[in-house]
Parts: sequence; structure tokens; C-alpha cells
Amino acid sequence: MSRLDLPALVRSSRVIVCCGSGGVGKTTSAAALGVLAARLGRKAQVMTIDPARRLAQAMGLEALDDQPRRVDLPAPGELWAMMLDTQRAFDRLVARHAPDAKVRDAIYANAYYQQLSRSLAGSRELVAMERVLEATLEGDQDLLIVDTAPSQHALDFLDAPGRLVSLLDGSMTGWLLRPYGLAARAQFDWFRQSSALTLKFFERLAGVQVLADLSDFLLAFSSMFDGFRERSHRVQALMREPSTAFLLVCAPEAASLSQVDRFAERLSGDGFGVAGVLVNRVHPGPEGIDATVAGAEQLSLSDDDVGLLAAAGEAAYSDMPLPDRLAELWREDVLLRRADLAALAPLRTRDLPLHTVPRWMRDLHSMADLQAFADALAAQP
Amino acid sequence: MDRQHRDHRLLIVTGKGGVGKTLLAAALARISARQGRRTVLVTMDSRDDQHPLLGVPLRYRPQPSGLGFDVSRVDAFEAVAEYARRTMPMGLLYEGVFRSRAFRDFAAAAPGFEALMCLGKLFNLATQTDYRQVVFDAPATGHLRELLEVPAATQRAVRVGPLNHNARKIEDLLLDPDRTRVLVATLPEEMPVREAMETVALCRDHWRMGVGPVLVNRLVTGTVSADELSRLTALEADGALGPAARRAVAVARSRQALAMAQAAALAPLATIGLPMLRVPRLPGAGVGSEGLLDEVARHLEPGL
Repeated sequence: MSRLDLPALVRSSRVIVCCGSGGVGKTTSAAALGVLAARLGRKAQVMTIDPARRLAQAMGLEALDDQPRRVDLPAPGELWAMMLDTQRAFDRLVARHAPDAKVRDAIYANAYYQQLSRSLAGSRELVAMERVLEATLEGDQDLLIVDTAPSQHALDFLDAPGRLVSLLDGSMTGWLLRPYGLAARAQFDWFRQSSALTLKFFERLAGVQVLADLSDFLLAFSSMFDGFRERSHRVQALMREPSTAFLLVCAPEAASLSQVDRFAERLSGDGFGVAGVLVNRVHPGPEGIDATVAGAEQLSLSDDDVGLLAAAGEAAYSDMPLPDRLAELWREDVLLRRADLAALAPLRTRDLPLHTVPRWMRDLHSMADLQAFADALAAQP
Repeated sequence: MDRQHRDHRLLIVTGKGGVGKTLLAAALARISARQGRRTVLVTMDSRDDQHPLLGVPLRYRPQPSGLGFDVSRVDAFEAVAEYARRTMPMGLLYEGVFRSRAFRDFAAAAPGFEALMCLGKLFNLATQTDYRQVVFDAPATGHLRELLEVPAATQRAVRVGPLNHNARKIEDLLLDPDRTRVLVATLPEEMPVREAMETVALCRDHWRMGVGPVLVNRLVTGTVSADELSRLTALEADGALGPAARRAVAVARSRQALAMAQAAALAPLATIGLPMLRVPRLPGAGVGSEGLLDEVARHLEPGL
């Protein structure tokens, strides 16, 4: 196990993608990384695709929208922040690739498109990646920090664009692009037969109207498909560049940690650069105490201490003498620390650089809090 | 448990990511099973082959957990395949279709389709099997919002046919307060509390669903009074305490600060008029075990 040097990471990367499950402090970590980068003189932009609008609160901004906003921060560099508006970004994507206004408007008006751009799992991820590419090609930031949407499948943002492209590119499109109904004249090659069966199945299940909408949509979309696919390939290439780093964010909890392993495996297997793991919310335990040492949970007070502490106690507040209550709190504190360290042990055996940040006593929602978080990101253990 | 609660076929456990939904849902399943109900704990969208907490195999077909209840993972493709086998004439003809790339792309891209199929499987478990309670370890609030829209959206998009019919039956179950209850889990922290209140507004006020007590996880209590703490601080300042005692005072102080911050974070919940069930922060809460589940269950059961 090696240490993850986050200051070096924000200095050397052009894109940092933060991924992990929900509730592990990913959005706040992304914002704090931005603060750290600005402190080190970089012009950093933080982009969240989280619809919960948490980033604005964390940065002390009233609201965030589709346009990058400069965060007020006394630092040699700059910090900018933006939030992704899926519908608008999708509309822009269509406008960018549509050959003319007629096609564009036909797509906007299509029922299937309206559903797709709002609610399809993956459309958010698709436009997020498109926006990342746009920012990288056209923005003037040195570093783009991407906060991915929390999801059970936190790597959907990598899969979803491909899924959509393969839908548009794949055999289904061929079938649906013919006037709907002709498709049933199946040819005998197995793949086509399976497509025809799939269509028939969906027709039974979903009704002809859905397929007709989809067919219209794909017909309109086909004119812009090449541009769309080309962008998708460029995103994939950008994500694999050496200056793009994936940062796995987690908390010392079973569900979160079990994902980290799989993410790391999957990412490096697919040729993405994994910079390391940022573990948030690690219980700090009593200062200066190694919780892993057997017996550390026993508070050993001198007789003098016991006497002084007992005299400070209020019998009216609790039946238990104050020294015993302090010993109980101590025990809990050490055990919580020990449990967190034990939960991290499997991570440590992996060859992944690691950085831990202590649990905060409160929610972080001011710039001062983010500054403190950035301190913890830069701290040497 | 009151009689009404006992009869709920479907418990939906939701809340912000990271609040411990999986643990709380497992504890609820444990309680249900111990009270003699045949119970299944269901997760959705998981690609794990093992339950992340219980360490038992996780399959589409319910598996025994060894803890008195079964566990199952609802998976869209399996659900579609099962649905087709049940409802389509010559369902077997389509068997190969479900495995095909074309089908997967299509299902993945059809809005709400996978979600509807998953809800259909939940419906099936809750109403057409001998399970008496289905505990659904549901997605976080944002995703749940989309999920709840799906039956109505399907009925709008597809006016007739089996899909419309099934979507209506699923919606009936979800919105029936006698059969379905939503339990919102939170941590005593600002953002999870805010999200819990949004979820209550969504489920109870918007959808008129039955919404049960709010489950507050990882709560700490201060065990030293404010007066005691100030006397301890004075002793510390006088240099009267040894090193171990000074560290112990620091632990007590930070615990007190956390307890106060938690109480402040929970304060807004008082306005929504739902009882709270409190589960203390337990060391080792990340590691699943029978003892831990029972400990959590012990705190939940009296309030259910």
C-alpha cells in the first residue's frame, strides 16, 4: 500500500473523474480537490452531474447552472464550478449535430426523445461525458474535476454512452429505420431473426405507438449519428489519456468498500488510469492512540485522575460515576476507530495508493469547511 | 407491531445513499421473520453475487440467508424473461432473444422499461407467492422518484394491452397504504435529513403512500453533561490531569459536540409529524453479522 499524493495529482492531471457510490462525500471531495488545485495555482473547474444541487451549497454559491461560475476564493489559482442540466445539454447536443433546424425540431418534438433525454438512465451520463469533452476542447481551465452521479452502478457514466451509441448503431436501428412493419419480414440469419423477434416482443409488450415513436426518432437521429458517434469515441479516448485520472471515493463501510475493489479492477482492466482511493469519514479515535493495539480500548487512569474526575461528576445527571462514563466513551471511540481500520484492511493489501480523511463533526457547507477539507486532502499522514 | 403494520406486504426502505439502508432493511427482514412471517429481502440493480452485508449468495431466485429470511436481487433482464415466459404465447420462443445484444440494447434504451419490469417482479413476490412480507432495499431518493413515476408513465404511453394492465396493478399496490409502507432512513446529518424530508413529501404528500416511522441511523448520545464538561475543561486548564485523563476529556468533548450537531441536524424532522426510530452508532456496523442485525433489530422493533 502506498500513499496517494493528492497535491501531486491535482498538479499533474488535466481531468480527474471522482467515482464511488452515494453518500461517501464524493461531491464535497470533488469541490475540495478544486480548492486544493486553486491553492496550488491551477485554474480548476469542478463539474457535478448530481441533480441534488449539493455542490452549490458546498461552495457557498446560491445556485449552480449549466454555465461555469467563478467561486470566490483567495488563492493563486482559480476555482470554477458548474452543474449539468441534462435536458438542456441534450438539446444542445442535438442542435450541435442536427444537419438543419427542421431535423432538430423534429427530434425535440418526438415523444421518445422527450422521455429519453429526461429519464433514461444513462442520458445524464452521456451528456456529462459530452460536456467533459466540450470543456476539455473549448474551456481554458487547466484541470477539470468531474463528480459523477451517485448510482448503484457508479461506472454507468462509462457504459451508458456506449449503450446508446450501440442502440443507434446496432441492428435495431436498421430494423426500425425501415417503415415500421416491414421489419417482420425476417431474413434467416440468426442475428436478424433475433432482432425481428425482439421487435415483435416489444410490440406485444409496449404497443405499436412506442415503436413508431422510436422509429421516427431514430430516423431523425440517423442524420446526425456520425457526428454523435465520433464524439463518443473522442470521449472514450480522452478518458484513457495519461493526464486523465480516476479517483475512487469511498467510506469505511462494507457496501462502499466492496464497490471500490470492483471499480478498480474494471477501470484498470479497461485501460483507464486509476490514481488511487480517497477514503472519507474515517473515525479519528482518541488522539495519539493506536487503536489497533490490543487493550487500547481500556482507559487507564491514575488514582489521582480518578479522584479528580469523580469529583467533577454530577450524581444528578447520571448514576454512573464520571470516570466510568469517560472510560465507556473511550472504549467506544477506540472500537469505532478499530472497526474502520479493520474495514480498510482489505484495501490496504491492494496495490492502490490510498489517502484517508477523518470523519467531520458536521455537514460541510461553507467555504471555510471546504478549506478545512482541502487541508485534510493535502495532509501528510 | 400494530396489526396494520403486520399486514403490509411490501416495505420500501429508502433514503440518501450511505445512510445504512441495506443494514436497516436486513434488520427489518430479520424482525419480520422472527415474528413468524415468511419474508424476502430484495435488492435492486445490484451486480453483486453476494449480499454486501450478509455475505450470502444473491440471485434472482430467492436464496435462504440463514437468518430466517430469504434474499433476492431483482434484475431487469431476468424479470423480462420471466414476465415473457409467463405472459407471452410461446414464451419459450423468445428465450434466445433475451440474451441477444439487440434485445439488451433495446431494453436498456427504452425509458422506464427495465424499471417497470423490476417493479413487476416486486409485485409478483408481494402478491403471488407465499411470502408474507417483502422488504425492498430500495434505491436512493432520486432514483426512487423516477421509479415511482414509471407505472403512471407506462399507462400514459401504452393505453391498452398487458403492459398497461400490469402497470396499473403495480401502481395500485405501491399506492395502497394497507399493503405498502415506505420507511425513510436517514443519518442525523443535514443533507440526509433534507433528503429524508423530500422523500416523505414525495411519497406521503405527493403520491399519498403509506409512510412509516423515520429510521435514524448511527445516532450518538452525549453521556457527559454540559456542566461536567466545563468542570473537566477547567481541570484540564489547571494542568491537574494526567495524559490519559486529558485524552479522555478530549474524547468526551468531541462526543458532546457530535451529539449536539446531530440533535441540531434532526430538529427539522420534528415538523413532518412522523415518529422516529433511533439506532445508535454501533462499532463494526460495516461488517454484517447476526449479532449486529439483532442489535439493530432490538432498537427498531419496539417502535414498529
